[in-house]
Amino acid sequence: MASSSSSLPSPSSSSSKKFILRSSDGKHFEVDEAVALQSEMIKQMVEDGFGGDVIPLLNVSSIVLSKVIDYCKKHVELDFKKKMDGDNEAHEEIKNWDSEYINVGVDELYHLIMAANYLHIKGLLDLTCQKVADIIKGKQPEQIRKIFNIENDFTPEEEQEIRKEHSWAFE
Amino acid sequence: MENSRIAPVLTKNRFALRRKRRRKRRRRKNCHWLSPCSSSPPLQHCLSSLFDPLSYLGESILVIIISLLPFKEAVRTSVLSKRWNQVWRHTRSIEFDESFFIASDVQTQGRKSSSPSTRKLTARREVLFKFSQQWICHYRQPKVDKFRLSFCWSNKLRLKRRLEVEQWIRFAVDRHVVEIDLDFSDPAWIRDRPENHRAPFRLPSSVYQCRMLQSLKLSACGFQGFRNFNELRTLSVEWKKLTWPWLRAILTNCRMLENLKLKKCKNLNVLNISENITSIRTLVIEDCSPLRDGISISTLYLQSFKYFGLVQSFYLESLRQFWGAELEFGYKDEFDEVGKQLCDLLHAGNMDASIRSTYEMQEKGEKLEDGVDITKRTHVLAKATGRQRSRGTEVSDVFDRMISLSVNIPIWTRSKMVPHVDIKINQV
Repeated sequence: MASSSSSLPSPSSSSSKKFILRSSDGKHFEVDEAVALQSEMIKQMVEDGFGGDVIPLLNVSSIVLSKVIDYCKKHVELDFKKKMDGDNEAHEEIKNWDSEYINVGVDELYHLIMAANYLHIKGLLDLTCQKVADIIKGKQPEQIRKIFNIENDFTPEEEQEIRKEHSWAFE
Repeated sequence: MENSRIAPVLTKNRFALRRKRRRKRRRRKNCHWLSPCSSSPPLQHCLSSLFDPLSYLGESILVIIISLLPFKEAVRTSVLSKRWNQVWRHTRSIEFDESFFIASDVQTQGRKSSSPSTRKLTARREVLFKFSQQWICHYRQPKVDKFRLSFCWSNKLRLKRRLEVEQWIRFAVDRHVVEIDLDFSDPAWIRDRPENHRAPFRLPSSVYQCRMLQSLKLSACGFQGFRNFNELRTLSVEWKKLTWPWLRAILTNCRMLENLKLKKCKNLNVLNISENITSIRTLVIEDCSPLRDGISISTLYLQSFKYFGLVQSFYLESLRQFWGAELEFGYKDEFDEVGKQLCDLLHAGNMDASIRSTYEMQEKGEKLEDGVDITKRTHVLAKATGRQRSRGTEVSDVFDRMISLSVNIPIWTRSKMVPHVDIKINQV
């Protein structure tokens, strides 16, 4: 992620190029180039010459997009800080900020994953998937089903069969 | 004639209209978190996703999630639904661990002549081999992130088994694995000394070709020096004979190394970590004896240092990024005062220091439960010390080396370098 901002002197410099992103529900978001280029998808579009005045993002709603932009902005800022102040403090700050940011409900989490996947923002995808894995960790199958509303489409016999096949994992 | 010309135009318009409508519908859907799906999925998926958003995520994303779970937990997701029963088989984080399997699965196998516990262990290993072999045969992903194999390698293991293990490792290497963890030690060794055990298995040559390897953990596994591991960040070595020149060569070759752990490594004698050799950030040394000539660390990069074992002489300097030390020695009564001073010193340097003097109870086969109060702990310690004394080994060594514990830590603050602080403690 650092690579996308490497060419810029500062994340907040007013001289940097601006991009306008349009969400699926037609709202416009103006962001700095470094922030927009956190998304590999947008980066690719720009490289291929599609980056006109407005970049339409058909699969991301405005609510999700603003949250994603928050992430990208913060990470551009922190990457810059990391380069200036050295690894340690910035690393700690990123960790704290991320854990605060990702403290969201399951629905929101799901939409963030979809957006991160669509926009190819690896850091955000890793963060969101890690959150889902953390939720799953240490829980019983029944609890996991309840949290994520997973419908159990096994018959009781089938479920029993699967449990028996790997009984060691269910001890 | 005219009709035929108009017809295509009409259909075209109709399609355009439909597309427009569809887009509108989609926009309406996307206006809230609870909207069922933000891309345009097939209808049946869309309906089910209203109730089960996770299952609607593409398989590639579910595989990322499942690969972030410990293997055993990934297996447990098989029971969630039919879809999940397929997904877990694609996990890119593979662990085959003997301790997963339970004795009740395995009662029927094993020779009658051996003791019941040996029979149980042998049978358990058989289950591990059967499971792993099958699992690998059915694996279809082109990439593996992590491969962990852990079982007690007994001398009686047949050649066929050795070949199987090599084949599994090859399987991971062919899938560009970045994390390898091989542990063949016997849990029963824990009370033993490292020199009594030879590594029963040698790292297969295929692993040395793994240029993208980022983490390598080896326990009771022999290996030669590395040259190709340019990306290696983490190295952990347990139950291995190591000499310092040999270790230094490895450190020099792995320039990206950040974390080093040595446990139960014998023949080391001395450790001289300096920034010319390596830029490691964390160093853990656990029960590596003898370190007769002590540990000397002088590097700008080291951030954390953990030491468990007998009291040694330490020499630490130029630790500009240092933020934590954890030292755990034996013999509480002798160490008390030294520990306090060292602790004060580290705290003065604004470092997170925890220095304990609990003897490694596991070494003596006695485990301290958490939350034991201090008086009880002292009692247990005294017992352990007593036993050590009566054996008549090493004790005098320890006392001799206790005479001088010299710590030299420059304290780095944001603005300036505080002059070196030296403490020298004579025998308590």
